[in-house]
Amino acid sequence: MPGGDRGGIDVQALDEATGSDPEFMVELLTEYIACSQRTLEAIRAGLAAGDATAVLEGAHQLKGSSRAIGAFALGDTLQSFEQTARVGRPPASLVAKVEEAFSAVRSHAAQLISEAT
Amino acid sequence: MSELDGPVVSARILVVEDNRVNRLVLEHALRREGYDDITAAESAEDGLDAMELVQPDLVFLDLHMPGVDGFTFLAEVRAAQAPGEFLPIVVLTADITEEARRRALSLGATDFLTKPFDRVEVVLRAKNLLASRAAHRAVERERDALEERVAMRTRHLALAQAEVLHRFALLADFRDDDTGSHTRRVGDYSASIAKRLGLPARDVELLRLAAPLHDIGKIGVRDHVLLKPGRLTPEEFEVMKEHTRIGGEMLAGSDFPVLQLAEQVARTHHEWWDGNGYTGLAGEAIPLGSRIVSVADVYDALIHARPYKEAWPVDRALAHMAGAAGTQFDPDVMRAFQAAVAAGEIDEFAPVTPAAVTIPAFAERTESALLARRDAGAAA
Repeated sequence: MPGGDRGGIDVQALDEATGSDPEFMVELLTEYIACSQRTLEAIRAGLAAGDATAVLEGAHQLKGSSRAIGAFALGDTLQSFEQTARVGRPPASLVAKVEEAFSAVRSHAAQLISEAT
Repeated sequence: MSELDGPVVSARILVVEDNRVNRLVLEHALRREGYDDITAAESAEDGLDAMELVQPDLVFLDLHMPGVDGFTFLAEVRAAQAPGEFLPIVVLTADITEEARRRALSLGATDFLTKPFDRVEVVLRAKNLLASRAAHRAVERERDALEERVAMRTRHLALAQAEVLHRFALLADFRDDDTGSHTRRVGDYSASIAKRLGLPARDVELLRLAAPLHDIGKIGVRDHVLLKPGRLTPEEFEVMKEHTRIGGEMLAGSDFPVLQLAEQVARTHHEWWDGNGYTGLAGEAIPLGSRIVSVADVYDALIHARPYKEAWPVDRALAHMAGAAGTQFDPDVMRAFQAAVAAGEIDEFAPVTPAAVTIPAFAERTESALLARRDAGAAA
């Protein structure tokens, strides 16, 4: 994967999305992490409460943002998660996969932010 | 700077997208190209409000949003839009099905943009669509300006026609040793009676303009008869009666409704309801316009001084005329006239209706007559 980083963020895609503007990249990643943590919270709460709509909305939202910053692996995981959630309760293993992929993206994002500032 | 460059960068752009990260990327790409009048809405509801407030030139729209979705937004915006307006709406899609794509197109989506965004594509779409909008607007402005010019010309022609009619009416008035206000008063009284009779407003205004021409034929009557103080001999009276025929001939053969009406009035305003008038025409065979003008003309003649008589007091004139209902005058017209007098709508001291009031109404009427003639010509 060109510029890929062990399933974190595709830096080349991120560079294209931000128009090679390091300041904007920092702003975008910061926003991404903040939004995504809230969304993930909503997904967890939805799973706990059996609220399928909240789970689906959250997964869709997180998938879109992740792909926008070049976090394609997380995006793909969320797509399977979304498909599964549409027909029933996603298994714990899939939830764990999402959490894992997100923390990889989050640490990669934190690293990119610290490198740029 | 050309028409197409100028307004484009200053264009107002609305982004309706609930995903904040996507929105930031889109806005950043646009701002870098100089589009800095961007409004963001996080939901379709906010987007619809923003449509009113911002009046955007270009909209980027996400379809999948919680609450009201992008499809509803599209349908509502298109329904509210001015006809003929080109307002580009670019639908932002990630994994859109063919069915959703068709639905968006049928609801009025202009174009699609796939997520995650390609910045170059975003900017090129914006540029092209805004240039199209600017071109559409330029054409619209040009068309509006042309329409405005045609309307002005038409109005000008109608005004010229109304003015000539008015001055034409004055010819007879001045010949008759008056100051020109008799014809105008007869026009106004006739209009008031016509209104009381419930005639449509356009006919009322037409009569207001046509009635003043009722005595136009008097310019063909010799001075020793027309201006004779005192009673006319039977021979002289026969000469005087000729003014209705002369007036009718002067006005005959026009395509314009106002002149056609004026011809009728000129020919038959001295007919009596019982058939004892100039030519013996009686009852409803006398055109209604003439029956109205007959009352208005006699009343104004009675209450003003003439070479052969003093001015009568209003009460005496009204009493005299009431006695002639059913003989000289159409009883229905007389009732309408009396009602108009009682309501203060016929007032010899009221300032005559200024041309500024009657002429635009006439202009409109003439305009539609012209258009009808043009359409009839086109159909033939």
